[in-house]
Amino acid sequence: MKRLLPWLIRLAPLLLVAVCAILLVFLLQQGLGSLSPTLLFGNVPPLQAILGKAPVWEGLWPACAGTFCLVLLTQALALLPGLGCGIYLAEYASPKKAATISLAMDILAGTPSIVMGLFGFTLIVCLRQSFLPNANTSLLLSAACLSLLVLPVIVSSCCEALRALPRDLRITALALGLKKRTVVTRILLPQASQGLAAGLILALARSAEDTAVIMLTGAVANAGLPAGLWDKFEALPFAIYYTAGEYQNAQDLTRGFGAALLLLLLSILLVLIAHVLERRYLRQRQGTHAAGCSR
Amino acid sequence: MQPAVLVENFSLSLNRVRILHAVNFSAAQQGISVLVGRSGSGKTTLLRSLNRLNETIAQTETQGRIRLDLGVGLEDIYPGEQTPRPVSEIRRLVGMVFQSPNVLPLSIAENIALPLRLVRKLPSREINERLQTCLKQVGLWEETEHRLESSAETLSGGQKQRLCLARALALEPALLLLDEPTASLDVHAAASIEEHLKELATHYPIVLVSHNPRQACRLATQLTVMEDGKIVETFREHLPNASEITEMLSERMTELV
Repeated sequence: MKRLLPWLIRLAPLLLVAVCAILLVFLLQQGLGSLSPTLLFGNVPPLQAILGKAPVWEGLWPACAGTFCLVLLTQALALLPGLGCGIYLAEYASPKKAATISLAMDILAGTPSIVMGLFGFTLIVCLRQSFLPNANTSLLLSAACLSLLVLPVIVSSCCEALRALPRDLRITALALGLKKRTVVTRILLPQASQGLAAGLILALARSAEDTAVIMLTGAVANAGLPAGLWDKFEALPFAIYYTAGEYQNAQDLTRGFGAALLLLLLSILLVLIAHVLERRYLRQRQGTHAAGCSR
Repeated sequence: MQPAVLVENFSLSLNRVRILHAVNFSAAQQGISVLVGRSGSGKTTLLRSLNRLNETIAQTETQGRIRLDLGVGLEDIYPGEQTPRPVSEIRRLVGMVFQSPNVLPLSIAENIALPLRLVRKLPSREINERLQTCLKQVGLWEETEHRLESSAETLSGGQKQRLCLARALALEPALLLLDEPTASLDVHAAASIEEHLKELATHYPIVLVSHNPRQACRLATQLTVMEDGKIVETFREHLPNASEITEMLSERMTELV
């Protein structure tokens, strides 16, 4: 066993890469053929579809736009509470308080997404029966439930990124006469930006792919472009799920694979944007030469 | 002449462990007061008591008084009969340089400019002037003039330590604390720092912790020997030479054994 262990350890990353590669090749093989403007816009001219001047019934453009809005709204809702909680945990909380908050975060992180979806659904039912009779499942409800789902990811990555910083950095900054608040906001947080960005990207990917929450809280098969916070919307993961369950012919199935490929591309695009922004920020902040070698 | 630092019967516990025992210590307005002692004798803790930095590391309890001349005569820095200045202001007025050259992970210029901007809230024109003055003061201007925007991590160990010294000076301190500032440097870099310290000692009161008896002899205008959280001897005139200091420290060690 002892001899085998080093080989198994070497095998593990290979296995991971291989599984990823197989998945990607399979997806490309099945979905690449369907990647065309028609997949996105159907028979509607792309510009008119993008500007929202003509409704798209056959294409995935509304689902793309819906996922994009959902992801941004989720981040907007989860970012401040997530960072705030992470900072409090790492820098201000006493060990006892930190243990209590960490336990709450662990419970939240362990909640299955379908439970979070049911929570959102129950919430809207309660609201309808009490003081908001017109409330309905919507983009905002989906984003709120998703933000609860990704909150632990942001909190723990923020907390870990701050805790991983050398203690000397805090002591040096405090010795210069900086107030604790200034040390956290101007020295520690920017320094932990790589860890923070990693957490945000994880949260972003999680909110882009989750289906269970949105199918109970506002995603539908045909809603067109997202009209507002209080309206139902289309989303790529839901389109994939729906196609996988309801497809009538081979063309429908190929469209489903095309949607999966689009979701992958959208996620890659969002991650790349986050990465470029982060690199630019680091170069600006740390001076030349540092950004290049910091990774 | 009124001292710049006056420590009276000062005791300190970190996380309920007593580290300093009724310490009495003073440092003059000019010159370098060197603290020597073996590892664990409480030198660094005493030094960090002078800018209340121990509080950032562990739960701290204190007894006794520490008074510093921060520009308007001696004033208490720990709560007592009078409420002291805010601790961030005390730390700003007591410049500190650490054992390892801990530059901020920013550019060379920002290492000096950021504290000035955040702590002193100075306009950028004044910051630029002060940046230049302080870098010249530690002999770093010519070496860094053309690469002020480079990361401070690209400097050598000695240059980093001089940058840390310049950063402390830029905040216009009333007192300088140095915790073995040459311990991690090579002989040439250490000699350069020592030269600058001698020059600075004509303008600032300096308290320096040193492990090195030879360095202590070269720099000290006052020498204080610490052991086990207590001050065992202070020399203001007729300072001992390096071998006498070494002997003194090993004698104390033998007594303890």
